[in-house]
Amino acid sequence: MVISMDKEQMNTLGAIHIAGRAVSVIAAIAAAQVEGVVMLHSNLADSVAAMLGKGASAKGISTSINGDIAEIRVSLVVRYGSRIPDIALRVQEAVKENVEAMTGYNVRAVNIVIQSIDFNQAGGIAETKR
Amino acid sequence: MSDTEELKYEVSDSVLANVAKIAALDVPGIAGLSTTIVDSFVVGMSERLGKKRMRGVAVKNEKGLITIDIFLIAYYGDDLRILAGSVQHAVKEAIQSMMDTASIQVNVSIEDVILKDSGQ
Repeated sequence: MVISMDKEQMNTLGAIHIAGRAVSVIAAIAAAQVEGVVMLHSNLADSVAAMLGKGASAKGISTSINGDIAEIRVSLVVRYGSRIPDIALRVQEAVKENVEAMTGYNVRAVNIVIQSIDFNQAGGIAETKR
Repeated sequence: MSDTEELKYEVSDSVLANVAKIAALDVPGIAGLSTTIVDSFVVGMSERLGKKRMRGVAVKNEKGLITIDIFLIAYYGDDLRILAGSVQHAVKEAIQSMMDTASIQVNVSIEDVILKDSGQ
């Protein structure tokens, strides 16, 4: 009845709708909490701590929603020295789990883009300089 | 209103919108109303015409059927579906406690999520 790309559920009281922007923020928070993730997207100059401020940012996340199904793309900056496939997998799991638990969308895909590597916080591993 | 046989009254849409707003903001987990999205929300609920829009709440009052669309910002942490359900109940109760009305439809849209200030 209602033409909307986003999810809408009807109950006896009316419709419930969760916007893509809300999904993006949830994904951003989940991704930022994964060990080895320095930040989401280079634009977000502040580190993960910035996420704790008011108005959580959804930078680096793009969400597309079609009916019940959500696809999320996450751009990351990871810490130098960490194994990228492991981080990517953990981010995928965290994002999927959080978004599904909080919104009820089926997360069909979490696509990870490693945007950059941060050398400043290379935990314990000596930087290779020439 | 020509009918004078019984007590007739009307409650204006802006009153309903305010009642709905206060009730919704009282629900734990709700951070505020989403204002900007409503205006640019072309597709979807608010596109159905004839509704008075104000500050994240759209009210339509037609022959005893009150439809309220409310656009909210939630805090991160809760299941948004449950949260939206609580808002529906709170708004419905608040309006029914003020006026006898047959049916109310409360459409809740969670537009955005923010983190609470107190660090996690």
